[in-house]
Amino acid sequence: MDCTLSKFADDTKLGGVVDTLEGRDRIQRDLDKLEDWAKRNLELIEILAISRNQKLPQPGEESQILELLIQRDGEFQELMKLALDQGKIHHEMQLLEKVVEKRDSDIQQLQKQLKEAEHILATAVYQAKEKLKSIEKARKGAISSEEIIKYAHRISASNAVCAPLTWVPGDPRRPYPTDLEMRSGLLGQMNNPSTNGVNGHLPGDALAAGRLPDVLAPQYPWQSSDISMNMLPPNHSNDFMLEPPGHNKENEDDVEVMSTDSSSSSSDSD
Amino acid sequence: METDDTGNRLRFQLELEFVQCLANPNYLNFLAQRGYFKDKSFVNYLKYLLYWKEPEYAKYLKYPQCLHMLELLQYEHFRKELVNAQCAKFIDEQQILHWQHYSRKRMRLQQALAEQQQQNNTSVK
Repeated sequence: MDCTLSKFADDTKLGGVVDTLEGRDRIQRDLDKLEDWAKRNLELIEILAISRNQKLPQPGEESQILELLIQRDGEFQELMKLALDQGKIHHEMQLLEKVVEKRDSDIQQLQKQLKEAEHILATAVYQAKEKLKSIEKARKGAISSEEIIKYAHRISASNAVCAPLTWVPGDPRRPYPTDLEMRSGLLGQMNNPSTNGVNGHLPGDALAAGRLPDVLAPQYPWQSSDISMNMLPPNHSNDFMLEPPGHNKENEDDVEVMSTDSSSSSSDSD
Repeated sequence: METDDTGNRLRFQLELEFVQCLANPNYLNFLAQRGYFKDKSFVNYLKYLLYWKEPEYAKYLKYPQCLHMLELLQYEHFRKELVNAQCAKFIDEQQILHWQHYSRKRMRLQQALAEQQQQNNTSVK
């Protein structure tokens, strides 16, 4: 029985890998049915053969059995057709699956390329942004070179940032205003605390202590009263008691109520 | 308006002088010991003085080291440290040494040049 079944299977090309469970089940069921019917047919044929040998007059039964056989054969043929169709469908399914696989790999390739492109573009955009930032910064901080040269000359010729070449430890000159210079300036000449601009605790009266160094007139007055005749400081309220807008470098937690008057911005003066 | 303007100009010069005084570490020590740095309004004033960092104001400063001192003064820790005389002395010394940086460099260059010339003379001979 087994060898006939397998031969039958070869003939109808049912062999091969069956992937889908459903298909497998169906085909399994069909095969079982086939087995059943083959068994029954064999039994029928055996009965027929025995009855033939026994030569018993049972024509009715014979024809009945024959009819059954023919019926069975018909069903058999139908089943075989069905199996053939299923085989074809399965084959098509396999072809489609292959196509799907190919498309999948195409999509993956495309994805990889897109990722690469995105990465390159992101880098380029980032660098462009950095360049724009530095351009903006440079534009904001643009200063005329003449002014810089003048300033450089001023601060180095007056020995403010570079010591005089003949400097020895006894020399009273310093890179900052000395006591005498401080006292001879505007601040030192204000004996009374002023009430219009700076707050009460003027450093003018705070210069009362100190030594008396030798007199050495600076080449460029550090008060620059001649140059800065038209210069005005930024506006501010007279009240420094309240916290100015913005935050302290260290005391971030105590934020006080800001007055609407105080405006210690460092914008251009009028 | 006139008096306002002159008042503001005067204030400008006063603030110019004061901010440059901050370059003097002895003066800073003086202020610290008198307790000025503990006054909240003084601290706010120091913060206000940061406008001298802008180029249109900074060009009037003869002693630009004061700006660095001003920045340091924004930190409370620095203000507290300045009460010590040793701290002020140390800053003073470092400032003067830095001040002499260029003259020392020039001396070294001159020495190197002189040595090189000597070597050339001996090799020519």
